[in-house]
Parts: sequence; structure tokens; C-alpha cells
Amino acid sequence: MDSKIRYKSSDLPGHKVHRLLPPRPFLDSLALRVALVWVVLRVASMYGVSLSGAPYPGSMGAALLVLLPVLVVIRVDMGRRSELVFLANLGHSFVGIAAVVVVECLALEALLRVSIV
Amino acid sequence: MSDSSYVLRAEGIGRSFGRMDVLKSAGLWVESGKVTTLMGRNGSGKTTLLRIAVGVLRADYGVVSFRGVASERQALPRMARRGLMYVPQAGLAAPAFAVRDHFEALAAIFGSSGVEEAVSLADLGDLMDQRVGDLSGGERSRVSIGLALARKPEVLVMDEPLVGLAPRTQEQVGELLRAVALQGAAVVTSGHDAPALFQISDVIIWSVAGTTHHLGTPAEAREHAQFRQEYLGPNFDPDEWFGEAAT
Repeated sequence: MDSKIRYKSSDLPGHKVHRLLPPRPFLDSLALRVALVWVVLRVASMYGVSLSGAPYPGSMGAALLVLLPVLVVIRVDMGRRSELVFLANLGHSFVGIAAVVVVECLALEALLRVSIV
Repeated sequence: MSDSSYVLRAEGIGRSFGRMDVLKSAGLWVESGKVTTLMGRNGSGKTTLLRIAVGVLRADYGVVSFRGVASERQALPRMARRGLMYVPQAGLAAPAFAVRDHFEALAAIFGSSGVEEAVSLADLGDLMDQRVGDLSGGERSRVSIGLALARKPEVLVMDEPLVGLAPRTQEQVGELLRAVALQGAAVVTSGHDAPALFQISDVIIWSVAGTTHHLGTPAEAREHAQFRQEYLGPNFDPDEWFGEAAT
């Protein structure tokens, strides 16, 4: 079999990644999608809050309720894109991925509340 | 052979989907350094058994033992950390990312030794910067096996690696699977294409009617009367399929 190597092991990043977090660029892609899904769902939930006459941005409980659909959407999307099985082969369970989703959603929520208040 | 010689073992596995009993009492026995093939018709439960064996799917009953640790609730991430690698039929690599991204992710966790050799063996040099989604089926198989060669797993489970590939590509993928076994890994494959799978296998397990039969070597499998009658067919001619090597 012909061997045309352009790839060298010296190209590889020398640092060790955190075992709990997916490696880059999978982590970057995950973070971007979480932000997109969160924005869409949070805007929709805030619209619902405004219809009910409650003040922006709604209760913290309502904000936390957005977390569940974000987790579900991310879980389905990563399964569809074969990312879950690849990351599982690297030893990453969905628990670690869910932790990233939760932390990012809480950070976005905090950012939203700071910017509105 | 003693039970301890099997690095991966599944026994008494049962699994139903709704009212359909896909597996009733199936098993899998996998030895290091050998290619074990789960052979059977479409719908015979091969993929279900493999998914249970690697912890992706939960069995209704039965036990899976990996490297001496038996459990009714295995999980792929935990097994992967202990040296198992599972490649589903759709392939291991994520279509949205470049081939290089996968090798870098693997190297960042398990180390980069062996990556260069794996890329060379799987002939992936020209594909490293391409998105996996842009690759052909054969190229994706080579990427999956290249990742396995770089990972150097204790057990590589690859579901239907030869399906949909041209004969020459099947041959290349078969050679790569043999290379993984030569590293000392236990390789598990599945499929229904008997001629191609016989060429690469050391052990044949027949999956039929929700159960499995350990048939032994390909030569022993060809002599198994029931397997020959019900699976290979009454007109099976080893000389036609395998030439003189079969006799």
C-alpha cells in the first residue's frame, strides 16, 4: 500500500487535555451549538414570558427549564453527527458533555441578566 | 480454552424490541490477536449483540465481561478507557470534522506514539485535511481503522466493515484489520458476505434465530453441516469461492 505521509506526529498538540472536557475542536463546535440553541430557546421563552405579562427576563426557574430542551437538542444532534460515539471511544461520556452544556447555559443566563438589569 | 482467555465475552444475552425477541440466548467469545467474525443474515441480531457487547445498548438479560470484569451494565466510555474501541457501521469519524481533527483528539488523550505509523499504514496522508463527510465509504473505513491502529486498542469491534465496498477496497480493509490483530488486539467484525469475511477471519460465530453458534475456524465453519445447509446454501462450492486455498 502506498504511503504518502504529510502528517507528522510532531504536528500534534503537546498538551494534555482535561479528561472531563471533550477535546478541541469538538469542544469549540459543541460550545457554538449550545450558544445557538440556547439563544433560540431563550428568545422563545422570553416571548412567552412577555405574553404572560411577567417582567423580563422571567424567573430563574423558567430560565433553568430552558436547560432541558437544550440538553435534548444537543444530545440528538451529536448522535446524528456521530460525535457521541467518537467521543465515547475517547472515554468521554455524555455526563461530561452535559456538564459543558449546563455551565455554558448558566453563564449565558448570567450574562443576559446582567445586560438587562 | 479457558474462560479467562477471552478478553471480551458476552453470554446468555437477550434483548427484545417491543414484542420482537431479537436476541434470546446469544453469546460472543473474543480472543486477543485473532479476528472473530459474527456472521449471519440481515436482521439476525448481529448489530444488536455487538452494541450490547460494547455497552452502547442495554441487554434485557445476560452478562458482558471485558478484561475479566463482568457486568450487566457496561458503558462504552468506561470500556474505551480500558482499551476497547467500537466502530459502528456508519463509521467512527464525525462527518463535520477533518480527518486530522480525529487523530489530534485521539493523540491528545492517548498519546501520539503510533499515529504517524497508523496514518501511513492506512494510507491516509492525502486525506488528513479533508472533511470526513466528503470521503467515500472505503476511505471512511480506512480512517476508522487508522484511528484504531493509532489507538492500539485491546479490542476493536467493527460492525459490518466490508459492506458496500468494492472487492479491492474490501481486500485493503481486510489487510488493515489483520494488521490490527497482528498488533495483538482482539478484532471483532460482523457481516454476511461469507467469501470476504472467511478470508480475514480466524474464528467464525454464526448468528441465527436470536442465538449464536461458535463454529471455530473458517475451515471448520465450512464443514459445519447446519451452517452449510442453512447459511451458505446447498450449492456452496468452496473451490469456486476460495480457489485452491480452500481445499
